[in-house]
Amino acid sequence: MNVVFKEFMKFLIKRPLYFAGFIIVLIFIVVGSIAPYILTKPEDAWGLTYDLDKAFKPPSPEHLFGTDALGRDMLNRVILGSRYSLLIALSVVLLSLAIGVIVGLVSGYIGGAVGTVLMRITDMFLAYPPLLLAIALATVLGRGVVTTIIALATTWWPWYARLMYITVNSVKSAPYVEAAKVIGLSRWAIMTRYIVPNSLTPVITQAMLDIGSAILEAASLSFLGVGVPPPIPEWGRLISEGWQYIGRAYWISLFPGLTLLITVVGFNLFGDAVKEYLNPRLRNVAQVRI
Amino acid sequence: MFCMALRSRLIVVVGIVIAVIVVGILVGIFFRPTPATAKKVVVYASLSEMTTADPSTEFSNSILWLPLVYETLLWYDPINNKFIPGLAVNYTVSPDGLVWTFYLRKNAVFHDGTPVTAYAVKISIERTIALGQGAAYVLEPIDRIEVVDDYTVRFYLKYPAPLDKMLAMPYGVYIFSPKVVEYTGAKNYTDPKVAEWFNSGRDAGSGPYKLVKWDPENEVILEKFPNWWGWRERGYLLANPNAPDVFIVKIVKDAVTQATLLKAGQIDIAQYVPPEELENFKKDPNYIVVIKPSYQNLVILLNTKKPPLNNPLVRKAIAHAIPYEDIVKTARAGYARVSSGVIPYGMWGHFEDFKYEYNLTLAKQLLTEAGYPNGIDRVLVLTYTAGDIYEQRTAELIKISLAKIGINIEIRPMSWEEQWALAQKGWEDPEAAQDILMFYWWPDILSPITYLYNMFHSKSKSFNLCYYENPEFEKLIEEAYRFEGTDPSKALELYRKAQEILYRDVPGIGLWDMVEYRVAKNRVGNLENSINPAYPTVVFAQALNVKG
Repeated sequence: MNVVFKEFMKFLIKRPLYFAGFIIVLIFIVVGSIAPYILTKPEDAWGLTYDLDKAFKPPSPEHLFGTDALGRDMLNRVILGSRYSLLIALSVVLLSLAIGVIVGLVSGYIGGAVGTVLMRITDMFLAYPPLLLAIALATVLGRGVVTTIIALATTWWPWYARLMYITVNSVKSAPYVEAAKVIGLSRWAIMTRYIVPNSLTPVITQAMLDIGSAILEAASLSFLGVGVPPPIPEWGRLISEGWQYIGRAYWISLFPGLTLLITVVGFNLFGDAVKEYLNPRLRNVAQVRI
Repeated sequence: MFCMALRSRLIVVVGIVIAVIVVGILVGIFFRPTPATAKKVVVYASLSEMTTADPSTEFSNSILWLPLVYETLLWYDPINNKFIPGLAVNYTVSPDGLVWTFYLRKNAVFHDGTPVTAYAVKISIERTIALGQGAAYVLEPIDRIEVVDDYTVRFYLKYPAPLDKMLAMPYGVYIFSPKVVEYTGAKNYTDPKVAEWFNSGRDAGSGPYKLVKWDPENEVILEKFPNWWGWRERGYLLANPNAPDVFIVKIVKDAVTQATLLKAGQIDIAQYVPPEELENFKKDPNYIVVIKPSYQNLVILLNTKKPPLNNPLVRKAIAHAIPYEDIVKTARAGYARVSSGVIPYGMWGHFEDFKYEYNLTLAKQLLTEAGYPNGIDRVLVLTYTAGDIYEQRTAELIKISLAKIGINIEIRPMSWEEQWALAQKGWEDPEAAQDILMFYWWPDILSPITYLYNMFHSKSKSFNLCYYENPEFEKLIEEAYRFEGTDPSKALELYRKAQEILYRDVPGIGLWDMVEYRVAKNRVGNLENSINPAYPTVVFAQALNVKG
């Protein structure tokens, strides 16, 4: 493991853009995990207080990101918001990954009637525009962190199921699997020892690439008012709140927006890096380009 | 190689640009639009979608345009407390307040050419009563309607009530052409076919504008009706020779977008721009800003049947722990007034001494007295309508402030349908309902009764969402309403007593009374007199003085 990590780091350092992505992701994860402990004004961040004398203060050394309509420090709110973005994005991707992998594996490896039914259900979900379905679900389920995760995961898993299904199907007919069959290994053993390990790479790569999108979609839901309820400072909500004041106090929307942008770009770069690293063919070509 | 490729690409690009320019010039030469017969068009942006187009049952957003297409017998001007004649030129009332006689104007015609007669008035009001939807409950005192002659109509009431105010409502009292039955092949006026006909985008009104396009989710287009009596009537308040020929109601669901469209010149009048931007519009000579009081207020109703809010002391503690002034400042950027009671400022029946002082020490003391010295150990649920930014900001401040006296609130945004459905459970099972419900009230009939009855009378199951039952209070307001038409000072005294009970019991708390404003381009003149707080959201386009 250590060797792999070292090699990956070497790979990253040679590519400054990917390295930047990695650093952004690292900062985001660290800040998101310890957010409640590094707040300088926790009361502002959690929305437990307000001070109208401090409202609409532009960015200054005291308030780097300015203050909002209730005089709360935006930097603190953005920092705390990272926790929710991290939590939602990771939960959505992991949950969808779990469902997607199982559904894809079952329908790809067992196939038959079960496989057909599962894949048709998957297709049904894929037929909807994802954000629209998520909005509908979030509206019905009510607003909250958990319901946002459920709503997004519901629209997300079919993509992994499809990908897994395709990979399993191609791995299934590989010579080493045929060989395993000839030796007389059980179906279960073949699945766990050969099929699963050899089919996971594309799905996991895709998941890495998707974390950025998951952050963005969670923010979209909150922006539209069906995601996380106030006073939780989720980034999408901060942007949508500040948007009302855009003519008077641009910073309320600007800084959460910029943070969101940088984070999503970071995750996309990092996802690309992982994809390239895991795919030797791509790695060689890319080395020349970047 | 590279150079060659670039050059050939350049040639293609230049070619496309030239082609576009040539085609553009040709189109410009041959398809020049025929010079428009300078029609004056005014576009008014509405924040909400339109609902139905049925003049008898509509009880929601569509009143934004209904008063332009349909007329009532009277219009009410609440600021000067007087009536403006509509289809009726005059009326008399018997001393006991039971018999009201209205004299109609003789030169009014419906858009289909039929004259407006007493019979049309009779069937229009009777249809609302028979269908029993929307504002029909206000017309409950009407016993029967008699056609005396073509232009005289008489109303007999079961008990005294202010019929003139009732017939000047923005809901359910519009007069429509009796021919609708013929047009639809319906059996009678209550036949669903008639409602279908209305909702298919046709109108049977007599107002200054005709409905020409009905697309409730996007736009409604109205066109001047040249035969309207008002255009020929000298000195009529609600008419202007420079009124727009075409009045377009465009649905723009967001205040920020409305402000942007107004600046871009795509709309002429904005229903809402963010209050924070109002100062900029006021300074800019290209825009006019009209500020008016309104009878819309934001209230919270407390679940009086569910602990801990079933204890009046806890409710009173909450009333004293809300930072009213700060809420007005942040939620509406100052464009609201701190409420005093649930009857809004400027309305007959409003009193200035029903304000609760914001005093956390007192609130804490009341809570201790109620037996909760350490605060309340359950999180109380406050519901509000999702998407309403003013409600959201108000709710946030209430949450922050109540936390200081140890009452923790979960603010829960819900769609109005969900919010109402949850609240309805409260009558059967108060435990299942919310603890605090936040919503707006605005009047149907311009009388204190609409606030006091709807939100606090136990017979009003739909909107008494504090589940308050107090026979003494109910008797007072019922009696007050009866005296309103004949003995206003007696009625006022009774309304005051009723509000004193509410002030003591705190089943609900008025938070703020909306101060309404409209922003328009400066070509839209006389906007000031085209807006009437008795008819919220309406711009009386026939009174606009449009330049250019």
